Amino acid sequence: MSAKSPITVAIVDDDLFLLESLHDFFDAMGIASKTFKSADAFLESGDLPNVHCVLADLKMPGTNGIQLLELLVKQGGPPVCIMTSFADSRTRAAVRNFGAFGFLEKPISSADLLAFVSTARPN
Amino acid sequence: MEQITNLKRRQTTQRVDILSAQIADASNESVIIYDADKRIVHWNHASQRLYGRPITEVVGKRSQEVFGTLAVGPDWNELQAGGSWQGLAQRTWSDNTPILADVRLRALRDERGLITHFIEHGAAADARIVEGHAPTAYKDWIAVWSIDTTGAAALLEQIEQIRDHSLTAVDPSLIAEHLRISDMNVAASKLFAGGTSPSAMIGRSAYRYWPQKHRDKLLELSIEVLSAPQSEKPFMTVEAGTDILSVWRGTSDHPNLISSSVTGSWSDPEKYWDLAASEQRYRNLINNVPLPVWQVDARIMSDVIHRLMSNGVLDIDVHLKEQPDLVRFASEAVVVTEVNDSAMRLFKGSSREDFLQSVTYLYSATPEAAVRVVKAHFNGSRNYSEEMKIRTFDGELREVLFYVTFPQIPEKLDKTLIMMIDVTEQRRIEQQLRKIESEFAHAARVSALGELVTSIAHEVRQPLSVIVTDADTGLRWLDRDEPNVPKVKAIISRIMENAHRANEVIRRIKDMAVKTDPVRTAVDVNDIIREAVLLVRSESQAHHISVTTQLAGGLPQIMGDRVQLQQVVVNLLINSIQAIAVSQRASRSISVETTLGSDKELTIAVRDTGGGIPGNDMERIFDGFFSSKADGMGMGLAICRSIITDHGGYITARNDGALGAIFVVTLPLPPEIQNDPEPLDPYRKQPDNKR
Repeated sequence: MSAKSPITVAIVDDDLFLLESLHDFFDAMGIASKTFKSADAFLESGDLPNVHCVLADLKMPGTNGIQLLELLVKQGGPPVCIMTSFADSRTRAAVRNFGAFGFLEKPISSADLLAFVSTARPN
Repeated sequence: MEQITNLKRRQTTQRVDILSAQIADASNESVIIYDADKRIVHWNHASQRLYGRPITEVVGKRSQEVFGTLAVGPDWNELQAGGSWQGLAQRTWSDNTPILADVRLRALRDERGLITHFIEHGAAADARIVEGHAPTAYKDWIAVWSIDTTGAAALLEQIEQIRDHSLTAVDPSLIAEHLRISDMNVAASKLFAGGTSPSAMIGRSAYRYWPQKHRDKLLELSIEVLSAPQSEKPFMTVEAGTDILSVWRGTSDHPNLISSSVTGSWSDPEKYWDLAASEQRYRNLINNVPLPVWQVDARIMSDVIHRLMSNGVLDIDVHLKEQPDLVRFASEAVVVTEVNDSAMRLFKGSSREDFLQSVTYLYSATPEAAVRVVKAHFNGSRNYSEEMKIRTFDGELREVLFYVTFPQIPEKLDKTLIMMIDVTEQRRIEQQLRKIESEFAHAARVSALGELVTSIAHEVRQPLSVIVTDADTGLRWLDRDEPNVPKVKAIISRIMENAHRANEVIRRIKDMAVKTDPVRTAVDVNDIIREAVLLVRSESQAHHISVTTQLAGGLPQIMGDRVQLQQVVVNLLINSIQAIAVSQRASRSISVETTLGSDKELTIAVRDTGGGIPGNDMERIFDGFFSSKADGMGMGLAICRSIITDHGGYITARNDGALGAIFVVTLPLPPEIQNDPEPLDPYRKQPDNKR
């Protein structure tokens, strides 16, 4: 765990450009982040206990964003923020009901992203 | 079997007036007329049958001279004193065998009270009655028709002039149509006109109301009477089976008036009873049919139609335009004579009388149907049916299948049958199904579109999201006291990469619509249009838009992708439908037209009444992602243009004034056709395989 970053963000998305882009953003902000190209890769990595919050895309091959959210909420895991490029009201409601900490629509506003990370920051 | 025993023309006698003789001859009973001197002056056919002696043998003789001295009755003294006598008379047959006759005699007196004639009615006495019981009167009937022959006489005269007196060539049916009833007696009305009052029968065809089995004979007799010189007063009579038929000319002041009579006896009534029985069966049938049935007397209409035809009317449409009242007259004059319970239930009536009136109430919700029924009747159809609306007695509108069967000679011409099948429920369900179908089609289109939009949005926003975040990150690196230039460079190159990626998405969408591997077969553009119109039918009907086609005949086939071209036409049609639906205009129509533009190309023009394209949009309508619709994606016309361009053609749009838009697709003909005015075999139109 990096000394200058009090937290680590896990980024889960099947789009490699987006993973890199977000990773570079957090890097510029001095926030540590780990990237995973799928929910399953994240779950299998064993990094779960080491991350403070999770930024997950909604639509992914294999375990999707909602399933990951459900799983982490059940386990009492870190707060989850769901990202999506397109959402209807039903998806929005589902995400909220499953206990997501945040919901970000792509293109992602940097301010919203930082707000999420800061609220997810442990005391 | 008809047996004509006596057919002769008799001149007026000096001793008895012609009318009396005619009445006597028409009777089925023996009628003997004596003068004041008790000498026989007339002796009818029934007398000849009863006593076996012809009139020539008895005229001028007294009763005893004819029947011999042994004859008993009548009592002439009592007759002269009391004016009448009734009883049994014992007489002899011509071979002197005894006959018992039941006779009634009456003395006729002049103004001064002097006896001028005696009239005797007689019939063979029933042996059972002779056993001491009072003889009952012999029940006889005589049906008489008085007939106006003005039309027939004129016709005969005309024919005579042309044919040089050869009446053999006259078509009897032609004469039959010109014999019009001017009066009839109660018996004729009861027995042969269904009890219709004689005054209502005036002007109708006598031929059709004569008993069917005697029609032709009566017509034959009528023609003979009519052919006789005006100066003569011919009297024709024949025996036909047990009935006696007579036709005679009336008074000289009415030379065109002839009379006809049929006399019969109740002793042989089974034929009429048969008739009555079959009538009853028929009535039972109507009542027991589980369908609404009306029996209608449309003879007036038949007469009108016959008159029109004989007046040379050939085209009923033209005639009805000139005589718009004819149908109204027909509907008012044609009356319902019978109605069953189902029909009463359908119209929600309780009183049968409400139904037995003119047929106008059947057509009250669809007056044009009456016109079509008259046309069908005129054109000689046996049946006519259509789907129409009726208005029930409580004002409700219902959909019915209407059937009418017109009677034809020699059927009962007063029995036109009308049946209806209530299809209101079926139509309501069908309409609901159509609505659901159209809603479903719309939903399918919307959801397909929605899915496409979702996937496009996802595909495009993904690179956009990268660009936005990278731009932010880049700025943050640049904002540092010591900008991290290599980092910014890397980020900018990723921005460029993702911008291209977004553009690639759009290119791929176009590729999805226009397949990269083009299919080129000979296709018939008109067929494609017909199919496309069918494909959008539920959509156009849902918006009450009529789609008409005007397709040029003999259009050469072109080389193209059938599915893609159809997609273009469907797209243009849907565009037009949506434009009209939004515009809310009264005029709602789309027309599709094909023309052979020049020897090099053909055009498809789609015009609508949707108000047209706003001037500043005209430039951009074929661009991708341009849409004037709130939920439009703006791909339809872009795809159309790609497809048409791919086919070597072009598509243009313009406005038809303020009315609507016109989209014109121009497609090239195959090179072989451009050089050769005659299309080559491979491009020849295949036999139409229409659905």
